[in-house]
Amino acid sequence: MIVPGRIGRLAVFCLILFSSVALNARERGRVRLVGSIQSDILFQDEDDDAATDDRQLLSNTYVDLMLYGRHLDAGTRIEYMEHPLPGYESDFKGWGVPSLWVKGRLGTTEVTAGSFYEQFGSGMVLRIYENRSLGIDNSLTGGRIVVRPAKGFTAKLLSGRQRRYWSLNDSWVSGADLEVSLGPSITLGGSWVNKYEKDEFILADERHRFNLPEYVNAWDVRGSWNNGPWSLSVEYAGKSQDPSFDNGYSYGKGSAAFVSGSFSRSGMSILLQGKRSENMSFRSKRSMTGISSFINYMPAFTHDQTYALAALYPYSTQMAGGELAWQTEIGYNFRRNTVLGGKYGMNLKVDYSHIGWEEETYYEDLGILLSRKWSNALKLNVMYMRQRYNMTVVQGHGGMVDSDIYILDGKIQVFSGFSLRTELQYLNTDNDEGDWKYGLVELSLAPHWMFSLADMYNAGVTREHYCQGSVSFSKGAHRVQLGYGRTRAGYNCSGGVCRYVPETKGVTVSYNCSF
Amino acid sequence: MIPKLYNRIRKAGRCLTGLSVMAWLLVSCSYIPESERLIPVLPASVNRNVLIEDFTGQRCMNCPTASDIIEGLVREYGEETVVPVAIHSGPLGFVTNERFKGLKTVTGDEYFARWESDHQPVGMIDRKGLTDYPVWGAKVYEELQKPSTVDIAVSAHVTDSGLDVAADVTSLDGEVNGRLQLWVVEDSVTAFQMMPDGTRKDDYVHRHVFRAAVNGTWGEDISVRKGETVSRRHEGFILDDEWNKGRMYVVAFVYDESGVLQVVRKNLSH
Repeated sequence: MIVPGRIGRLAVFCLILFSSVALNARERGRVRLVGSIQSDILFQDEDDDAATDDRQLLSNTYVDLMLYGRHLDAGTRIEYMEHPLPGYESDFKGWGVPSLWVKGRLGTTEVTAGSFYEQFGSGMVLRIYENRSLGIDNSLTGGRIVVRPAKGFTAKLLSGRQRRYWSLNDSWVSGADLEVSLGPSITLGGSWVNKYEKDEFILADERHRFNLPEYVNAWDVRGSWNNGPWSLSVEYAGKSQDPSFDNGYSYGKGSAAFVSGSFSRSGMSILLQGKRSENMSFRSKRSMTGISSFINYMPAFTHDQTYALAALYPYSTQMAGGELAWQTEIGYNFRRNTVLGGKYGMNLKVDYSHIGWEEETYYEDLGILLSRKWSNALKLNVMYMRQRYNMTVVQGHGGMVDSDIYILDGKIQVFSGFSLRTELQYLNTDNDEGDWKYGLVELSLAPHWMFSLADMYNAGVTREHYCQGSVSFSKGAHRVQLGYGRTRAGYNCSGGVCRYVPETKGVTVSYNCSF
Repeated sequence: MIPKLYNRIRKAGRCLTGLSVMAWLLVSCSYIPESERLIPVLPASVNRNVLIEDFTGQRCMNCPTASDIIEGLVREYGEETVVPVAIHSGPLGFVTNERFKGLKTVTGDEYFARWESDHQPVGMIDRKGLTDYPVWGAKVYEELQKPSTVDIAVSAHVTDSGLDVAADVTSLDGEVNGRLQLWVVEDSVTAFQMMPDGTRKDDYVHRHVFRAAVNGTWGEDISVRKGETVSRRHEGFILDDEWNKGRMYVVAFVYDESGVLQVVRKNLSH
């Protein structure tokens, strides 16, 4: 529940009071108090022309408090984003207590009241989750019952209203899920989700309005099989008529199918998976745009890239339209003391992804990564990636970007507790802004200190440098990072969702603590 | 082990069957056949004029779709009743360079920043908050039927020294304390536009293009008692030589914290 202001302060006071009692009880081993603090702060340079906020100090801060008892748990979260970091939707701004929940457990039954997160299967019909870097929190506020009457048998029932930043959407989301393990190898499951949203006056043309369904239903069936090195998962989902802004108020039904198979043994692994989806955007508000209010989630079919230039053109799943995607990954470990493996062994990974629809390619990449330890002190990763990125489909402009990416990543253990890592990356393309170069030096003084210096340089159109330096210190449950630099405007994508991030320049401070 | 497995399968089967029947019933209930998907709507009874501010951009692929929505509303109710202004602005707006004509203005960017929009296209109907184009028709329909509390009469005359604009504002119901805004707008400007299919159309005809604010970015204070008329006059406003004066008009509107109270448009006379 969203509880800013006076009610929020009262809720926090109650929780602190309860915490004090719990701390006493904790000594008798009955209740645990845990929590975390995460704060990311940006001090913008005064002369930063790209600044989108006149204020110099911007911050996203989260405080989580949880109490765990024998039969009863409770928790809350306080968020402060009154002057948020750049790149979030305008309604992201605010502060208060957006999450408050109580969970009771008795025997095989668990009941939650308040805010909660949940996922059915792979999330194709329901995924309620939080991703702070993207500004996503689509929690439900209502109630949930989970029953486990026998081993391998789980049934869930839930209903609630969905959070959209500092309010709750008016519609009601309800669902049920059943999962059964038929022995150690086979699991079957099925889910159903319903959205009830009142009718709305939306004109189809000057003389007609849409007759909008108040109930929208989505369902899925799934199965998985594991046997030794083999595993196979299949899932099929469907959605009833759901005219919305995303699909241009069409009355077609949605469908999605997903198959994934893998083999892993003796230093070799193979993954092959495919997905077809059409018209599967499912929101709790039919006229919503942007990244909020999604009830479901379509699995991403691209690898999460950690190297900067490999992640320069990130793909986001096209929920409303159609997608045909497939992905394969083959990994092989050359054993040590062999010709190719050398003294310490070598790992080879090849991965390929293709996403498109009706003969149009949305995204495609082929990556080859070699990891080899050359000595006790030296380890090298060498990677080549060929990428095709349809910028028009993902970002609304730019055409197709074809690029070749070359990466060298080396780590030297100078002596115990002191290591040096460097990255050299080069992206070659004739499209968009042209070539990019990237260099990183990272010095680690274990167990507490880390220093890094990086520069991303556009060698094509803009000839701009984007330098960043940082120092981080961690001890126990605390981690603090201090940095200064300039970031380019771009898209931050994770798990199939992207948000536009404007250019920033200034001092950054991040603090994380768990207790 | 086999009896246990059999019992589990039976339990699972019963539950899945129950869920399936329930789901099938609900899916059946929410199906709308093709013949019932559109509900006829009577045209709105017009009691006032409505202003549409469309924050658009030449690099915005979806903006032509929003423009089509606006043109449909203008065809239905007339250009004197529905008064759209396309404010080229934001990250998808375009400024003239050596190759292409741009329609983005500094003032347009000020408006874009003021309303804190984070995407395009987006607009406002009578300044009642940012909304997306699928709901503009419904919002206009609603606004047209509201009573007007203000009457505005405008004249716009081009002289040798520039544009002279005069506005007479009359309060029809109670005291009005707000601001009077005067804009110059040019229609049918040919320049490039990114289209929904990702291609660039170099001869796209841009309608209702915001060019400049005559009396300041946010207009001027105006207070009018019931039944009274207050006049404002601005003389010698310089029109850019690049603008086609034959296709230009003045948009005059009075607004306060509740939104736009009334809007009118007047073609430039020579």
